Amino acid sequence: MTSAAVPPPHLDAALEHEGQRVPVRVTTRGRLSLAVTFLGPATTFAAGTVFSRLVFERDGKEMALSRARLTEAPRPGAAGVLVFVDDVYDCAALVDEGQVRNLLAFFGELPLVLAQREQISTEFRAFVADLNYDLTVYKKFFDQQDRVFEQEPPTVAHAAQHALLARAGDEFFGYLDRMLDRLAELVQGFTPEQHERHGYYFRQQLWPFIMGSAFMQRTNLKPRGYAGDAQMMDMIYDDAFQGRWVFNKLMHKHPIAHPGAQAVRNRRVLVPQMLHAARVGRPTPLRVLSVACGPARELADLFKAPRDCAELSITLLDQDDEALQTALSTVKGLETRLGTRIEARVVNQSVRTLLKEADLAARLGRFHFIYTMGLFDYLTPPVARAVLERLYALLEPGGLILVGNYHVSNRSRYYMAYWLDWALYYRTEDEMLEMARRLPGASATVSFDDSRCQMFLRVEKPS
Amino acid sequence: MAARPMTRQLLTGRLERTLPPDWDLAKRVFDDSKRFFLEHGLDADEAYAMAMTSSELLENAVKYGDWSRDAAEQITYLAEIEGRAVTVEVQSPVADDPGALRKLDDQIQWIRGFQSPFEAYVERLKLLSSQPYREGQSGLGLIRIAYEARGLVDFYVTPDRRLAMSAVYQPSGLFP
Ligand SMILES: C[S@@+](CC[C@H](N)C(=O)[O-])C[C@H]1O[C@@H](n2cnc3c(N)ncnc32)[C@H](O)[C@@H]1O
Repeated sequence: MTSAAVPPPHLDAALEHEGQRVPVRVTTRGRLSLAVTFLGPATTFAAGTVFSRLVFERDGKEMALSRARLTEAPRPGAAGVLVFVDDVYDCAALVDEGQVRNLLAFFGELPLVLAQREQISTEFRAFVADLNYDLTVYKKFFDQQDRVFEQEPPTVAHAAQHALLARAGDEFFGYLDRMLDRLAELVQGFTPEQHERHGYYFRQQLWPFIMGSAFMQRTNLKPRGYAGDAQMMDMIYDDAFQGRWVFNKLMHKHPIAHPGAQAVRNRRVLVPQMLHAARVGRPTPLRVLSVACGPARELADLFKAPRDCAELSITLLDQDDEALQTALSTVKGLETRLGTRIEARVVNQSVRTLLKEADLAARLGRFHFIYTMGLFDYLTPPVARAVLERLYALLEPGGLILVGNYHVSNRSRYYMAYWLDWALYYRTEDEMLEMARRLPGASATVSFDDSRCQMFLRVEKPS
Repeated sequence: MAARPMTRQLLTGRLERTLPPDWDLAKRVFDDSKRFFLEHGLDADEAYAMAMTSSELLENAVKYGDWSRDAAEQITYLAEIEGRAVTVEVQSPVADDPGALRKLDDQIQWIRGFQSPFEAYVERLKLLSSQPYREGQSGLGLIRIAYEARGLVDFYVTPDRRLAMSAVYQPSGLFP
């Protein structure tokens, strides 16, 4: 079978030259340049020719782009190259979607961003300047060593880097810890507005260092559109160095060693423990629902032996398909390890819209245990209340719900807000209990994990 | 902005309204809601911001609600102060369009994903300034609630297919 090559997307347009319109066909050459073919009979333009506009029609309207220069003239069999002189257009958007996106247009709004630094306290500025200075010094030192190591054979380089991490790592972590204490002192009494302003300023100033940490890069850039995606969670669970250079390794590891991240690893163990304890004496099989399951690493402690697989079934719900794929591979790994099948099912939906189902039990079934970790921290009270009510309705009589939520006094709170750009809805014990107060017949208690960053609301339904 | 007292107490309370979806609804509720927030302990700036938030959510409900479904459908408005949270919630009928709801969910998470909503505002402006957009589709309304009123926007859909769109404000300096 022969397959015809699919022609690349193109746009038919015209270039204006000395008052004349010259018909052309353009395709993308890169994000910022176009490949151009002249359609008219025998038109030749030398490299360097500047055209006053590129025009095309879209939805009956004429669209125009500013001056463009031919940097390479077309040759037989090869298109010419066109770049823009006064503006920077997104050529992919232009050809693929017919959209005119001028990447320089935001320039006019920069004063708004620049004005953000007014109203930053003098002490905070000094703190950020010191931090910048110190991190530069540390980074230079670590980079110098890395350059020396790089000259060595891999095993030697590896050993040397290992020694450096062991020798200087603790000290560097101690330094970062002290700076976090200082940050907490400075911002503790701030209003929400001051936190936001100072947080923004902080990240603008420290951006290169933040980008030097694989973990912080991901929490800041949020490639899945939200903080706490399955890959971020995996980084927390793996709790290992990541990155090629010593500085990157340390900047990655420090935040995931902090109490807020330890709390994630703690709950991974605690939740299965609580479920195993609650299992005792109950008739099997038992149906378990994990809401906002993420990578579902805790399943390793829930399904520890073939007996668990026979007695428990699991429904994994998450809004993100990528998280569900990760969760399914967790399940597969366990099946291989235990040599038996796990009854697992995935549901790809957001809890915000899940609530619209009039008969949710018909769709999802009913459950003996429901747990949800790392979800309520993103839900405001009206939504949290509505979600908990619906989950409670899915519970079998005698069933149990566990809801995790970070406490207002989370020791990593400012680390997360300022460095990681990771904002949570923090709650108090009372606010956790308050959520359960409206559930008919429910008895509720709140407990903490060892890090004391995180609370568990335990809601039981009467038998 | 005037400095706020270090500690203060808000009064618990609710203001509820059920209203037909007409165009000056937002204007009419503005004064009532502002008065409610002032009377329950918010300062003038905060009360204004929450009234502005109320208007924005009500306007959205009128504009995007699924009013073709049933002529008897109305908008419900709730302003509530409880504990540390000041909440405005607006409910209106919504079409069962999974794609549109997913988009709204993504938008909410995107806005809430910034520790500083100013950043969301700037990012949105960047996008808008670089490309033409149709009137009313700037997507700045919810961002403005986040940025100008420090409201945490969120939503859920009720079993009778109503969109419950809310903004929660957590005032600082509350006692204890
Ligand atoms: C912080 S992670 C926690 C994952 C897992 N529970 C754990 O402890 O490792 C948050 C997860 O919640 C999911 N999530 C966030 N908002 C959600 C929503 N509205 N509905 C369903 N899932 C949601 C995300 O997709 C992500 O996988």
